[in-house]
Amino acid sequence: MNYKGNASLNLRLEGWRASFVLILLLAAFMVLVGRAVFLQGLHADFLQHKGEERYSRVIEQTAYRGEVLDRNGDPLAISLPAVSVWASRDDADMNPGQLQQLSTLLEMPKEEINHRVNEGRGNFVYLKRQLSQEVAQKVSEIHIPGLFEQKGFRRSYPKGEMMAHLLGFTDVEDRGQEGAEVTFQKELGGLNGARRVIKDRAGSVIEDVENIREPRPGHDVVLSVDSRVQYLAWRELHAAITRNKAKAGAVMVLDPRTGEVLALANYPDYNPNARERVTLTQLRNRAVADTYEPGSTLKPFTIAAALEAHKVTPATIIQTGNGTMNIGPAVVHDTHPGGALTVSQVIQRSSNVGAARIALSLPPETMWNLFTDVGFGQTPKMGMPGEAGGRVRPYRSWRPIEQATMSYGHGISVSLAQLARSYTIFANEGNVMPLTLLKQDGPVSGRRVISSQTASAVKDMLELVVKPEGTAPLAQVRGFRVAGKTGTAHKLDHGRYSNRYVASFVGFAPASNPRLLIAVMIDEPSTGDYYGGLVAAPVFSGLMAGALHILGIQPDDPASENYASPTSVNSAAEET
Amino acid sequence: MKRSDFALFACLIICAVAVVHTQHSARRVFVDLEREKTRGDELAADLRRLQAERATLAASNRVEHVAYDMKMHLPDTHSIIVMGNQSQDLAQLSNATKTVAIAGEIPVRSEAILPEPQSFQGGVNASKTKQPLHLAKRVKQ
Repeated sequence: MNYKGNASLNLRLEGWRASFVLILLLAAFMVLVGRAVFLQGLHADFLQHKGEERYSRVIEQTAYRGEVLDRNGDPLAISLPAVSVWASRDDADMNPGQLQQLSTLLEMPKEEINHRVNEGRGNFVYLKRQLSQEVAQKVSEIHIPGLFEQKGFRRSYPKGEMMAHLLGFTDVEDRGQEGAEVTFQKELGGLNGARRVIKDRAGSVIEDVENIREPRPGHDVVLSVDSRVQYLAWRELHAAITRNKAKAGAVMVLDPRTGEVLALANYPDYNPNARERVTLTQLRNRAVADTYEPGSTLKPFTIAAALEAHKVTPATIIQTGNGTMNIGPAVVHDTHPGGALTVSQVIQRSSNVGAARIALSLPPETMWNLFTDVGFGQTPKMGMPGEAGGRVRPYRSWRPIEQATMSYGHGISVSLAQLARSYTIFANEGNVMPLTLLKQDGPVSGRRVISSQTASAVKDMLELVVKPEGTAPLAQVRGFRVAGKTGTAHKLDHGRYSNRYVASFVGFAPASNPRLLIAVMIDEPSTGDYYGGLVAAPVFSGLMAGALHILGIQPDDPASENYASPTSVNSAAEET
Repeated sequence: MKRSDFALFACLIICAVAVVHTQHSARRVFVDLEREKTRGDELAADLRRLQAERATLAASNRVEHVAYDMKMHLPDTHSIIVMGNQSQDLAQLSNATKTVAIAGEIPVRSEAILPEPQSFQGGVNASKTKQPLHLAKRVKQ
């Protein structure tokens, strides 16, 4: 084709048009460059942030709660991973078959699931918390839309009932609610961490952006408790409660050299792993939170006060006459009339009249001082929740009859923990030891309350109690010298003493070098026997024998024919 | 263009590719690291479960139940010899068929009052209440 003939091709364009297009193109280019500078330079941070929001996520890093261990490293409370299942009310949709499966897995009636999902305000509802991973896995396999999982922890208590009151438990939020779990919440509690990460389409983390907060797992806590001794305490207490058809009871085992609590058991108890139907009665940590009138277990303190004041010696004769004593209109009774008794025999036979006579020879202040010094009327400060301080009235208001009854443990209230602690003065050369739930590594210093001579004199008297003439021959432990004191107290019922009793026994062994101090309290034994020597002393004996054996403590009284002389220090019995 | 320009341009391209490659491999290694961390967490969780299980299985009341079923018991105090390192103790031991008790054992009760031990729930939600204190079974035997 010949184009030369085409006139339009011969048009000569004016020069400015080409320049105009060029400028237009340059201007457009400049706009683009400017925009690029604006986006990538000036506005970059904002955009980067917006961009990251699209694919970066803050993920929470869960921190474990610390473990609770016994003094030998045996785990007592461990956090295990658990899963909570929650539903979005707007999205949850399940058919009857799925509902049935879910109800079986969650062990929840179908009505309740329906109720939770369909009633109530808000979109978010927990169906069940703290499921094990196995169950959660099965739940997710049903593939119910609108059902989600949330990771968390569940506290497991391998020792179950036997440690229930000592350890307590945590709530679903992993906070301590009772027992050592509350006491050591600060140490045990972990702090969840958080970090910002970038996730890819598949949802897996591909890059760390920043660490917002390091997760801080809780610290482990090593308790002073020996789980083997604890088991024995719990078992012997259970046996005694069953044998005596008692209402309640408590046992406490201490190391009198350090004030460490080796065992603490209560009845009734509960299983901390299954607390759905636990009543307040079961939760009650009686050894620590309940006070009672201790009865004759207080007599050694009266005697100690009198010995310290040099009013009597262990051999001083006290006239108890026919076993009654009039103080104003009131009468103090003895169970068995004793006639003339030495101070030692007053303890051995637990004579109320004898104790009252000795008490009345003392100024009230002297007795009050000793009671206060050994910790009566003040909380023992172990850190357990709900510790009771008991009640000791100020000595200025004591009338003679009150001073007399207080000498044998009425008109004063103490908790078992306080009573156990107070007896450390006899077991530890006159020093009262602070109670502790934590394992102590070094020696612990106590506070001197009475002289070591007085302590030793009272200890000798307490050894007489378990002799055949004493009130508690059932507290004997073969191979060991045992010292202790029985107590039998009437319970107060609307301000009057009733025919219901609290039987108790506090004692320690080996008397030559006390290693274990045990306090036993049995509330309302109902099979006829109610004396401390018959009801509580056997618990002491069984527990003491077992615990001495477990701890490998050398017998100090191998007189019985079956014991070879343990003269050598290197015994086959291993010290633990 | 000079020769050196070509060389620099080639370097630039190589560097750019290397950056992309390194970034990619860094991400892959990071993903691996995350996976291993998760695995570590799972193993730690397993360890805890196993510790809890061991503690439950080794709980004194279970041990005692097993011992009871196997008719084991601690020798009574009459047949225990506490040994020193004296020859008379050893002589006494050799002529007697007495049992040596080892410190640290739980003394099994000879009478038959034993609460039932709890079973480990293996991480299964512990929602079933434990059986009430069981006495009858042991007494019957």
